[in-house]
Amino acid sequence: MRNIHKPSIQTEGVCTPEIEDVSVGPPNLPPGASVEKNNFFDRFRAAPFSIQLCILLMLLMALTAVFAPYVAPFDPNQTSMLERNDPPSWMGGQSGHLLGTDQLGRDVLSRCIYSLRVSVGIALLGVIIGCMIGVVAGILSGLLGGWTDRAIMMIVDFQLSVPFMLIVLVGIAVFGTSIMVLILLVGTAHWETYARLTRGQVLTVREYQFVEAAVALGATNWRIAKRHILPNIASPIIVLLTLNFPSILLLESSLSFLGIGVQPPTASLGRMVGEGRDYMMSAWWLVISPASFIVLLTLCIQLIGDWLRDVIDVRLT
Amino acid sequence: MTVEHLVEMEDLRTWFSARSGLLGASNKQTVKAVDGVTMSIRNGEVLGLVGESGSGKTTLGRSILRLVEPTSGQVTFNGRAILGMKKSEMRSLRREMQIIFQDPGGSLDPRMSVGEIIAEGLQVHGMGTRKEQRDRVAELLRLVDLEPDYAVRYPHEFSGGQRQRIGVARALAPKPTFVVADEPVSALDVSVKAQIINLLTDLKSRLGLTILFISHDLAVVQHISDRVAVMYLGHIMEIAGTREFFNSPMHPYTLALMESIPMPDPRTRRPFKILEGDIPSPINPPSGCVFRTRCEEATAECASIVPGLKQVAQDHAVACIRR
Amino acid sequence: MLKFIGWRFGRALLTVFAVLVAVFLAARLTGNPLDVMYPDGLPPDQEQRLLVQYGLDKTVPEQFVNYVRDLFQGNFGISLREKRPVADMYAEDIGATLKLAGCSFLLSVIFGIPMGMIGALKRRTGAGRLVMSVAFLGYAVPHFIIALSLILIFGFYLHWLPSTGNATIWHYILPTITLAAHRFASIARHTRSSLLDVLSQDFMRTARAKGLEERVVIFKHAMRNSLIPVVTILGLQIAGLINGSIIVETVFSWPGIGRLFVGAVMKRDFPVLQFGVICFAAIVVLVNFMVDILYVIIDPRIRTEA
Repeated sequence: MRNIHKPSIQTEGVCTPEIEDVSVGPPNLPPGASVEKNNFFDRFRAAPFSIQLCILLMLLMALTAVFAPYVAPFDPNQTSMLERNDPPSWMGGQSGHLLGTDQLGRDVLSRCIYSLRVSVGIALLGVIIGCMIGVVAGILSGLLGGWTDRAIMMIVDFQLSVPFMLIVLVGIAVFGTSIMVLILLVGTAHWETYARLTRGQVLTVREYQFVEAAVALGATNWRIAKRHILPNIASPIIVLLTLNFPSILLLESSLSFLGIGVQPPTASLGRMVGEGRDYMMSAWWLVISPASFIVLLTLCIQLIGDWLRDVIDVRLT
Repeated sequence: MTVEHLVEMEDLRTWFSARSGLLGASNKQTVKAVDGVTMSIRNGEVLGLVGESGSGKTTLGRSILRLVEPTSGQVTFNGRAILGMKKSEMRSLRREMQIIFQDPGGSLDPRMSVGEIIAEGLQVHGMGTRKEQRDRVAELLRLVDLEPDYAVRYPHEFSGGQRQRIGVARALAPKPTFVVADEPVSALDVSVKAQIINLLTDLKSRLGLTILFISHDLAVVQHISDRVAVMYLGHIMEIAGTREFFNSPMHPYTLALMESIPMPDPRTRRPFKILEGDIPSPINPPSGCVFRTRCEEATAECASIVPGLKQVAQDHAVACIRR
Repeated sequence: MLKFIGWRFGRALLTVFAVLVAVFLAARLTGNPLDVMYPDGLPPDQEQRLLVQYGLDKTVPEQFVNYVRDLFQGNFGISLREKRPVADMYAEDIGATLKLAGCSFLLSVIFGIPMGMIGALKRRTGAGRLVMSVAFLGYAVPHFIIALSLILIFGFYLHWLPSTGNATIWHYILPTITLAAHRFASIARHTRSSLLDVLSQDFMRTARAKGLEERVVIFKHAMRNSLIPVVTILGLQIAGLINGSIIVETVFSWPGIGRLFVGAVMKRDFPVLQFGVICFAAIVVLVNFMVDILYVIIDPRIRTEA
């Protein structure tokens, strides 16, 4: 650890005994740290109604995605030439499909449910990859400083100055459009936000005396990062994770919409919208259904993320 | 293998580079926080280190432990030179040299339970099994007069004095031989202060610790120390046995410090003027004797000669050309 | 000041150079461009001739040097598909993109800043909430869904507006609104939080305490101070505009460079991609460089901190 102690202005008098009582009151906490061990249900109850609704919807969608084979009323890839572009059953559809059928007679609802699984899965993995890259880079940058720091920050600057869509598009052109490539590509989106946040937080936390105490005890950098820094910067990172999730989801659906994301026969919400677009005039449900899923999903998570940010009170700039 | 001097500092310097000015990096300046300290700490003693804010005493304490990297010189601990030691070697040596911090709140990780905090040193150095570590934590909590079942609580549940006791327990956990106590009581209120001082005195005799006790409070230092050193702008001005130090202080700066101790009786006349002005900036310390700008006895000579510590009596050294 | 500009300029150049290297390496990762041009394979002698002709027989560093030299000589490569200079292709299409992006940017600033102000000043009223809800929607709903909704409503059902191409002024309306939606949302949100920040500061209380009229307080003191962070955000908008125009141009069949780029991705036409990335990156870097300078001019506090 370098320069952990900088010459600082101390508030001590000229060698006189002084009464300075800071003994009671909460300890100095890192930003975002909260000491109360609130469980999820306490927090949930304290949340406004709209947030509770969002969380419930999210849970519902998550469960639907996980248990897609049990929830979906039809086989999503079962085509039926007789039931092509049949409207939803409550709109006068003949074949009894709740959200109608597509140009190949496949059940739209079942396809939406399976697409949800794919889209959420990709976004989730992507967000986790980005977060891990970013947090590791940020910790290295903040803890080691020097050339490591400069090099990492240069890559961050680089990523910030190139529109991310371009990187992804070039990546797709180079590596093709397999799901793995897609996950890795959307995973590298936003890693720089985690890196910058983590670095800033590490620099703040590093100045706390408990980190110096750990150094004095002989702890390794690795241990300090794991035991002292990570737990103290976890909350803002979780907030950022929540806020980044919708944009990753949108990135994947935009790519799939353009036809350069998830490839057939796998369905994703964005690709369903893209395919349905050609039939938009006659069969609007092909577009509206998956689009509603996308909007609902991103709105919910975005709202939850905004709420979390306000509750935990972090500035993410 | 007891040595007479547990810690020896030889011409130790710790300089920081500080950037200032509107033009950024163009004018680098050097803060000479510790500037040529040669001093040793005897095995089993409490050495009090006093000085004003900005005198470099805290930096000196951290330099000895290599919590800040000294610029030059050497520190010898128990006969081993620690500057230039390999990182891993240094880490294992840290078991023997610990630190107690000024701010009992900030030095405890709010995310860890008291037990985890105290056990960290044991874990780092692989001392004992989990069970043994738990027992040792309980033993340490009793040692600092806390309940053993506090181990499962978190730092914010405690008062300042209790937190400082936890800090002491953490420092003592790996059974160190040397402890730097960096203003351990200056953030506490008076009654708690006395308790912690007594605890430290007690622990020192029970565990045979060697302590560098850093403080700006002469009264506290008088109470706990075997010897006292005075620091000013990175230099040691005077060092003497406690009794000798308080009975016959020699350095003009020490005399001025003594004057600033409040007298119980306000009618007591003060023979000297109280210290005036602020400590000069360590970026641009005065030439010659660093104290001359505030010294009543300064002469022209003081600006040119850097006074070294010289023996003036048994166990008493002063850095002043007029003594 | 000059030093600061020089420093920033150096960094901008470095970034562009890094983009060059990255793009070059990415293109080389795909292997032999001839495989893309002639998927069915070539007779060996002809392949050898083409390798030499395109300089592909050299080592990778040599190829890079040649590539950079070509760039400086204005030789930006030939499209693998259309067999014509990529620079010409971009030159044809950039006008449409700039017009669309410019209109959207203006629209988003004209609406975004006042909406953000309303959101901040009337934040406890219905109007403030409504404004910020709209901004929130614009933020969370993807471009392609906004685009399709607009096409569905105004194109298919109402038949008010055309939805593909850029033939008349009417063609501008839907793509401009779509592209502006995100920018508008982002600007409104930032203006709001920045203004709220300023409103809570001491000098605002001082201004009120001096007995100034509320209108004066807000426009003279609050606005000036709250717009500074907004200016930096405007710089970042450019990257968002480029991201968005790639989608929007494709949806509305807008003959701009965004669509050209997406087409090149699908056809794996690497010279077109390379030039596109370099162009886009250069634009973003240039705009951010100008914003940095502007920022220093507006806010005298942050000078020269390199």
